[in-house]
Amino acid sequence: MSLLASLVRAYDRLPDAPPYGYSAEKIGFCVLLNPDGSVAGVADLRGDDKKRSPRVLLVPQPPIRTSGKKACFLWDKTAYCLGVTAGNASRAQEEHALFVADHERWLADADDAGLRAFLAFLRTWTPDRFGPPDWDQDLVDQNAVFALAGQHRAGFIHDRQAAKAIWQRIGGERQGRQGACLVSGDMAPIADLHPKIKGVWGAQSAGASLVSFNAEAYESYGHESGDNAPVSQAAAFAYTTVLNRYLTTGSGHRVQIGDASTVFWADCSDAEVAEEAEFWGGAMFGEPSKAGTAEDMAERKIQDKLRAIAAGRPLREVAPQLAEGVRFFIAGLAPNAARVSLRFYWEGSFGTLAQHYAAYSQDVAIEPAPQRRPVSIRAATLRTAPAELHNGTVRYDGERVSRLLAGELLRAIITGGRFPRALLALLVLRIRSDQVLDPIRLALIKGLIVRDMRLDGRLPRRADGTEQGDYLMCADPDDPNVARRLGRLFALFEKAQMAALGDGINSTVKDKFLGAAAATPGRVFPALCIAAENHHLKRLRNGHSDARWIKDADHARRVAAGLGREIGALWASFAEGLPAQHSAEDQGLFLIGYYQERYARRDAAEPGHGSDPDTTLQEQDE
Amino acid sequence: MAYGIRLHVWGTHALFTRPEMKVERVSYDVMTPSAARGILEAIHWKPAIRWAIDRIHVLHPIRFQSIRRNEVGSKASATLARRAMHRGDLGGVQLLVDEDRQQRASSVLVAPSYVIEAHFDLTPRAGAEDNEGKHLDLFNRRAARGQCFHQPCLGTREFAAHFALIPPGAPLPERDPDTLTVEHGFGTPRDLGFVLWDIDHAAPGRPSLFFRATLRDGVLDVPAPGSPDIRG
Repeated sequence: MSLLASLVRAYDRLPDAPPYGYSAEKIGFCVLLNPDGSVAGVADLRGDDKKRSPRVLLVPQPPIRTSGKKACFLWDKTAYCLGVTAGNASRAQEEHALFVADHERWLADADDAGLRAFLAFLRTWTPDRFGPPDWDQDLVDQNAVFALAGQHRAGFIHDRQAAKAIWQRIGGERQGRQGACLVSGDMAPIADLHPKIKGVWGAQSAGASLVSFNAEAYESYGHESGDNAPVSQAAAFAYTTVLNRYLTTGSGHRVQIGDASTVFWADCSDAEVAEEAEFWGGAMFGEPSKAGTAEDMAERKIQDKLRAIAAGRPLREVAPQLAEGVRFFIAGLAPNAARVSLRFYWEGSFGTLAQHYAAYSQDVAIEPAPQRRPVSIRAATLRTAPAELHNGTVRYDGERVSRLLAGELLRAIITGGRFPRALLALLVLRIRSDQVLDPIRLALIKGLIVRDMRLDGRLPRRADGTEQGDYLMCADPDDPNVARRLGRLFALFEKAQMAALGDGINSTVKDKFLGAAAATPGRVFPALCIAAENHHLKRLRNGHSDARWIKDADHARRVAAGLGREIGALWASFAEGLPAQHSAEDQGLFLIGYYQERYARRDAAEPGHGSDPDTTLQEQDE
Repeated sequence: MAYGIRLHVWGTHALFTRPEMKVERVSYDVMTPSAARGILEAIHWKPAIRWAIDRIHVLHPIRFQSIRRNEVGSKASATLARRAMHRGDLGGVQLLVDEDRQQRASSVLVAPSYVIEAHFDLTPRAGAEDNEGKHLDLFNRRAARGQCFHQPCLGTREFAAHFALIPPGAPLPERDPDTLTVEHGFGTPRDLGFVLWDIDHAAPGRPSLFFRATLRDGVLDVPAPGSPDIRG
């Protein structure tokens, strides 16, 4: 199924879906009319919150306004329905005139009390009446609906039976050419312009089109606008309605991944199961929920189950109701000028998604672990941004995420395919430039390398010939991989320096040489080795140290002997020479080797070892 | 199926643009019949014959990748070109790409590989010298030698198609084991929704024709021309 077809299906299952021809719009206030058309009062419909958010009401669907003027039916913004605007007054006058003329035509033979009152109001109203005490200046340019005074609790004028009947007729008049709809396959009136999609991050706030043909280069075979992709008006209405619903903040269906506003939904014959699947999806993506709320409690439960899945337990055991018959859909929408473009789209069974998620979780698992719960997809994509210091903690700015790469990373996680190659190069580059050995960055590097090795059949084998599935997971001094051992050696050099000179020194070996050592070990390591032997280890052997955790000269000598043994043994194993250059994968392995030697055994081996400001092992969440 | 042929086509990427997503292009999951027809016509076509696609085998897993490219916002104008021809002067006939740049994203298929099964029918324009055997021989000879009128492509020109004729009786190329999944219609058929069948160039307004595509065991069956399954 295509994106549009699955959205149309989702519309059919939307619990309180606006019926065809109606849409949910933000309405600021309601004008109360007397039966003779005079104004009885104005009811403010906005909420009491700080932003005074307008209320969302179901109203007749607005026409698609581009540069032309078009009136809504029985409601509109003040420029149209009252002729009042903070902007261009002469334009508002024309718009109001159009609004009045259209309604004169539409309501000409209406004999409903509400509609007659509305018509009478339009005939008598002049914009100069807008002002205190009835009309608050805040209401300018808000959307307004109308109601009969005393009856506005029973319903607005556009809700009246007579109004609905007329709206249906007008809708029929607007219908265009018949054609085969590419969503349903039926002959139906084809939508010329599609309703706008709102709520895509970075797109125009008035909404942007997902399906549009606004330049000559997009048109084929002499077709114009909607004819290029015949979609029936009903299907266009359905897919935009449901997409707009999902894109609303707090809908539980959206999460921001890089610049892609990602929506996800489930399809199942049992609505409750579908909802649960969507909740799971939210937790996998890492959609933040407020601590302490009911959702948070439920999310914690799901996190436990996700951990079980990540540890390799089949979904059939953890959540049997989700394992069969639940389809899951994920669509990433990204802005591009006045359009919304589909960055990626995935559909499949929820079981497959859970399986891919488990594979991803196992691939990125690394010791020491970044955090207790599995690395969420959102947290992973954030790591493509440069690290920034923000109030003393390391943060990643969602706006600086590499856009294409974040999308491809998401695709790899969802489809179980390879991670994008450019991700490895980018992460190595980021670490080289900002020196932040973020555990999630390392986890991604590890996941990428391990997945590549597995798909290429390059994973090292155990003695019994089986693949080492948990390769790179834990520190492993016996791993023969040269790059990884060099990373370990580099960590030992740093340790020797810290032991000899203390934690207070301005810049360590790591600060100066991490990037160079990772990329061109042949140039850097000989000098580092001499520095460690001739300066740092020598100083320790002589019983001197500035490190506070070294108690006395004897202690210093013991540390020197231990470090010297380890460094010596490692150094001797490079007898065949050091590699002049490292590929991106080797650099990744080097960083993993360094990271695991540096941080993995910190607690066990060296209690009291001074902590670095940059060993931010705790979770730095978005 | 006396005049049936089988052609193996593959490439690094493919982009069978969905009409509804053709600005920021998104590919269909599987090659469309009209794209397959285009490949066959690149190898051999005469006004006397009309190719009809019977089925398309999907040999490699359906994988997507997003790429972003610099494109242009307008087409070279046919009217201007015609005017220039009459005038005998090329002034004004131009498309300045760097002044009309647009960056657009595409979701393309990665490493596609298909087998096209097709046959041809003679059209009313077939003369006395045309017969099925002649055109079948022509096609087979040209395809076996790798001859083509223009380089066939997988959806769009920039994704060139490699092709190899599968002689009658020869087995199909081996299917990638990764395709043996529900996503490729193994076990239960996979509904691909409505897919473009072709453009009806003869009808006024050149409407698009669609059919409900279903992937069964990695094979897409294409309705014959004139079938009631074709909508439009």
